[in-house]
Amino acid sequence: MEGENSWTSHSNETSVNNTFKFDSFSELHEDTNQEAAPISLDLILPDDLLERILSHLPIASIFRAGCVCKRWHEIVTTKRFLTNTSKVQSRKPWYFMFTSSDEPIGYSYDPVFRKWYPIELPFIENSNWSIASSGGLVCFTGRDIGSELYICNPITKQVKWINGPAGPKFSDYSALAVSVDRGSHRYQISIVKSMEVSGSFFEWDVSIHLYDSVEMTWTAALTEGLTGWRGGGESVICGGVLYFLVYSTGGGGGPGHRLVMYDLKSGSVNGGSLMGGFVGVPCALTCGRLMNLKEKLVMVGGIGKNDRTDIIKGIGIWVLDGGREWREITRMPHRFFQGFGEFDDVFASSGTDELVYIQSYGGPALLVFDFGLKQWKWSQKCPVAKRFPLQLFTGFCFEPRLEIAP
Amino acid sequence: MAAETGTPTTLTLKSNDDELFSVAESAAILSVTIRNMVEDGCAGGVIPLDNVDGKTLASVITYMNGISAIPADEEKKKSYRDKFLSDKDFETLADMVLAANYLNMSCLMDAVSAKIAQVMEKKSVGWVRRKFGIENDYTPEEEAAVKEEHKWTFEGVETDDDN
Repeated sequence: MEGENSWTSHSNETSVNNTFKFDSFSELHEDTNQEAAPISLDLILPDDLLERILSHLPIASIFRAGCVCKRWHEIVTTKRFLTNTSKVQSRKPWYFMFTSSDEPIGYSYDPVFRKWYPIELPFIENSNWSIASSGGLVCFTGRDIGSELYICNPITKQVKWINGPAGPKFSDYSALAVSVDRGSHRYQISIVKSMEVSGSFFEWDVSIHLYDSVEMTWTAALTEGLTGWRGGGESVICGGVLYFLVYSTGGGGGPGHRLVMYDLKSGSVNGGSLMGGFVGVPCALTCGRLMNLKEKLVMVGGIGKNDRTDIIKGIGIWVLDGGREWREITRMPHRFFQGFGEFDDVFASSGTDELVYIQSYGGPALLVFDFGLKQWKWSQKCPVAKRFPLQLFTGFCFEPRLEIAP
Repeated sequence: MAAETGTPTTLTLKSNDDELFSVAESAAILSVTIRNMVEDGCAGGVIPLDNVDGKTLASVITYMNGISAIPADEEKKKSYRDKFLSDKDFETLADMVLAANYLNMSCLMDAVSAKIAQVMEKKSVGWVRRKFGIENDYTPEEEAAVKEEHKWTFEGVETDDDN
């Protein structure tokens, strides 16, 4: 990580040549015995030192520091500062919770400070849009993929509209994923579309579309027919592989879900064909979600009861080892499972880096699993109340980063 | 530790208010500024440190002695630094970060910077201006606009007399 922008190199340079003189701040402070120092600390504090101090601030405080004066604003908005502050601190992923199903409003949860912030999302119309996030960017699309596709940094509020892939604007199902390269900030967006073949519920056309932020173009990577299976809304890019879930439509396909892997580097699907490379899921699952936790593929899902698979008896987290075997990491302890209160068997989960967030559609309670610490913890209570019985709550996880722009 | 041959070298440091301090060379060379002087052979007599007052220098020397007595264990060093800084007020921290910068002590500078940031993080814009002696050069309109940009960041800020 010792780039030319790192603190060590640039501060050494400046300190060695540091020949300016200053009087002790506290000495002056004591002499005059006043609240405010007569010679301002601001005048004797060199830019690089001030930068170093401010880089240790949490995100909300950095934005506030920019309101102190113009010099500070300039410092906290330089590219060097934004890059350095992200290196100095490890910031845990936040969770955005929609507080209305009709409007793009909600709160973002910071698990380090255990605080909810009212953050607005640009352009997104409602919580039913498909949302994917990676490395500080959040990508979202409405039903009309052709004209309603955006990528934004929810912290800095920078947003970019992306012209969707060629072909039909609407599909029966579409799964959105995004992957940001942390070094170059180049990103890739993938959309897996599933279209029913005229009137047959068993025959589906599945196509993969890839967007590259440098080329600024879409490529149609693959189109293949599936029988008895269809794609859905669940996909993630992880370690250079696009993973997505397919769902049984009956008609001989077998029950449940399967996982498909498409290698983005070689441009080939695992097993040569979509169906040839199916990987099973750990057990009968509901609400199965895929996520990238430090470039490992993780699945979260509800474990169905033996006799009634649509009723869940618990929630599990698995990691895919060697591209084939699921290994159980943990199951949600019963007291947390019960803690959701009104748990109506449908829940949302979203994760990145080292955190998995789980929330019941029925209420704003939010549970966090820390992969590093192997620890379950409730979030601080979200400052939103359930207003009507059928109100649904969803959300998504994203990394709070200042240095990345779409 | 390796067995010492003879008595360890001691350096004499002089603050800008003419206080003298004796410190083991092995601890003092945590400061790159002092180490360069020693290597250049200018450390024979008294080393004048024109930018550090006695009170701050005493504190820095306490730190130098404390941290150099800890064997290479980053965890232990970190907890020493945390404890060392835990009772320091803002003014002392400000003096220390300037001294650490002048003495070129990277680890102390980082620890104090982080501590100052921690003291600042929940404070209002007004508190920060007062403590740093900053004159607000925004017009009221400009300030309102820059605050409006990320107004969620003003939630839960500690209130004080005049923000």
